[in-house]
Amino acid sequence: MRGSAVRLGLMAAPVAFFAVFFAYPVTAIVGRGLQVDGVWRLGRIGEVLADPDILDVLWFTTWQALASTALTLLIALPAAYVFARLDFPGKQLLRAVVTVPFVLPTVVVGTAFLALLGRGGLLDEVWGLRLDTSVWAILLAHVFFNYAVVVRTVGGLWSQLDPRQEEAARVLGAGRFAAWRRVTLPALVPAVAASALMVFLFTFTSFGVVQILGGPAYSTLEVEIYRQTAQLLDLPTAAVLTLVQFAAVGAILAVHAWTVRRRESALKLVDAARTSRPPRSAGQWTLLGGVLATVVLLILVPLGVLVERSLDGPGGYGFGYYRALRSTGASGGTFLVPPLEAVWNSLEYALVATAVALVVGGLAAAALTRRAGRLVRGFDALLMLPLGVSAVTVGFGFLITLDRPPLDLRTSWILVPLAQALVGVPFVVRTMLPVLRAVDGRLREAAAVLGASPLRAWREVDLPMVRRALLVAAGFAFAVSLGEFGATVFIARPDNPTLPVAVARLLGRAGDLNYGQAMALSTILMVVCAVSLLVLERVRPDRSVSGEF
Amino acid sequence: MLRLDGATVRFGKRAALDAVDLEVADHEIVCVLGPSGSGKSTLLRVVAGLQPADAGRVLLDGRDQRGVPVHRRGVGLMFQDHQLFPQRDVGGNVAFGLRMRGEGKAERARRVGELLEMVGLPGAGRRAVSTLSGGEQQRVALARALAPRRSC
Repeated sequence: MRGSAVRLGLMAAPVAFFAVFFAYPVTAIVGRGLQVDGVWRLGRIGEVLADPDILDVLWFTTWQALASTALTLLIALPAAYVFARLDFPGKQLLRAVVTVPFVLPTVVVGTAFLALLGRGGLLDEVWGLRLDTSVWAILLAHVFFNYAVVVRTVGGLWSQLDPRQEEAARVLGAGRFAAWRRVTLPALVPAVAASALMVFLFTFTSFGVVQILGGPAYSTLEVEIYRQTAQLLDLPTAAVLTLVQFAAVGAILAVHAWTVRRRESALKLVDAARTSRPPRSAGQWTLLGGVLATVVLLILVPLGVLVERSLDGPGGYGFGYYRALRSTGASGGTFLVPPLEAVWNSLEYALVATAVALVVGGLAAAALTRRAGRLVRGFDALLMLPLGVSAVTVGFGFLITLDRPPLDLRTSWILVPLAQALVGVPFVVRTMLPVLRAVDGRLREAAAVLGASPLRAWREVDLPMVRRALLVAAGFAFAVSLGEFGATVFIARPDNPTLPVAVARLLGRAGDLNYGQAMALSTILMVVCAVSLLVLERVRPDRSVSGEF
Repeated sequence: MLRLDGATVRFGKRAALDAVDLEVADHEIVCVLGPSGSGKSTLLRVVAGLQPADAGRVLLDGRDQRGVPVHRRGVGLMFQDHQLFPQRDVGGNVAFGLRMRGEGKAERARRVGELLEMVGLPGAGRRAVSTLSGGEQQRVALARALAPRRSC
């Protein structure tokens, strides 16, 4: 009885947050699209869905998301193993490197891949090969983006699984592979499923990448929603598409809940630092080599092209584009403030957004930890929805709903971090939950017997064990906030642009100077993310000290 | 003094404890023997408050423990698989109960040294629990359970 009261209390804050900053704006904008003089016109839904062009968009959105997810898992799962179980110099740096793509604005990634695979790009120059009109460019860019999702989610849990469990299976007569399949794989399934779900949601709702690399031939739902909202001003069609995307994502989440059905069991988690060893066998060296090669080809080359473009000015290589960022004049009235100010705006917004996301997501994850009934499962799915709902819709919804009493935030800076936190919360929950659920309940009992109240037991037992997951969650939330574009572009004020918004504004204008400045600003964003992530990788719990923290 | 009056715990239809009466005097040592699944652990869990009794009473020094949460009962308990806190070293595990009682740092250090001496692990305070053998873990668990008591 008391347990469920505590759970409801923990759920209250996240539910309120989602109601005000998510459900309300999205409902309002869908209502605006589908109501005429206060009367719902649901007939529109049938009309839009009968349109063969829309059906094509729906079909493409689905199969490219499936293909992207499969490809990402195929390429990233070996890397998850390498990061979890192998120890090698430069591992922390490499971990930060693979996370960088995830935080880059989609627009920049699209442009970087265009520069790599498109006309006059690197492949074109070397082999005369162009991929920008094929679906491969989209798929590769999606893998580039989501590699870190799988590596960090799966690898994070994997590194904390006790290797002796496999040894126990070996002693009982299981071969190497059988031991892995019977012992480790089942423990990893929830994390793999969670990361696959994330990748699918991202690629299903992909916007910037497809916008740039898809050309007229390929369009996802999100691109179509943007086109209908911002270009054709066809709000009813956009509203129907938003609902379709919403329904599709809801269906995916339902299937996910049904398949996984709480497979997280109490796992024996150990200190991650103790489970990794330097590579020994030929197979391990091959895997490590393969992962390094993948990282170079898939991540470093596109990022390298980006940096190269930022330095490649009209007068040869130099920092001309970077210098131009310090003044408003050079961009021909695109900005009210020097573009460089976007760096500080972005950092401040992202810090606030991270704090909000950690509080809301942490409470939600704590509420979800204990096994429970249908109500809690529905809550679980609700938390994932912001990933599936069009960011364009959310941003536009913020604009038309939060601009009047009782909640007039139109002129408040808090609007941007709130929108960013919304996207960060699902990451926090997804990262925390497997680890929280895996904490052995009897450790809490042991603490209680020794005199710790429930709250104290949580602080003394759970918190130290989940601190690592908490840091990973904070890193994700921070990164997502820094890179968020779809919603921020609607609500960031002209005198306070964020980095991605400034980049997009520069890319939207013609001329080499704007293009070069966009590349320079993207490079800065990339460096900011890399540095923040490196700092985060450094802040680890001090293992030698016990007791107080 | 510990007393159980008709303590009963049911798991579904099966009764793990069926109206158990038990009296244990101070300084008395009682062994409970029985085959697997006969309710020995359940008995201990009821005393510690980890398992609510469906019927009957648990009294410590004559006071009914109904409604007294686990952490206020002042019962020491060793878990079958020790349940040492993996994030803390040996000393941190032994000192845990003392910290919960608000003992000062010096007193904690003194008591930890004393108990580790007693279980035959002198100077092991800084070792990580994952480096302990099974038997050593058991001895640390014993020291941890005894630490908050004033007499041992």
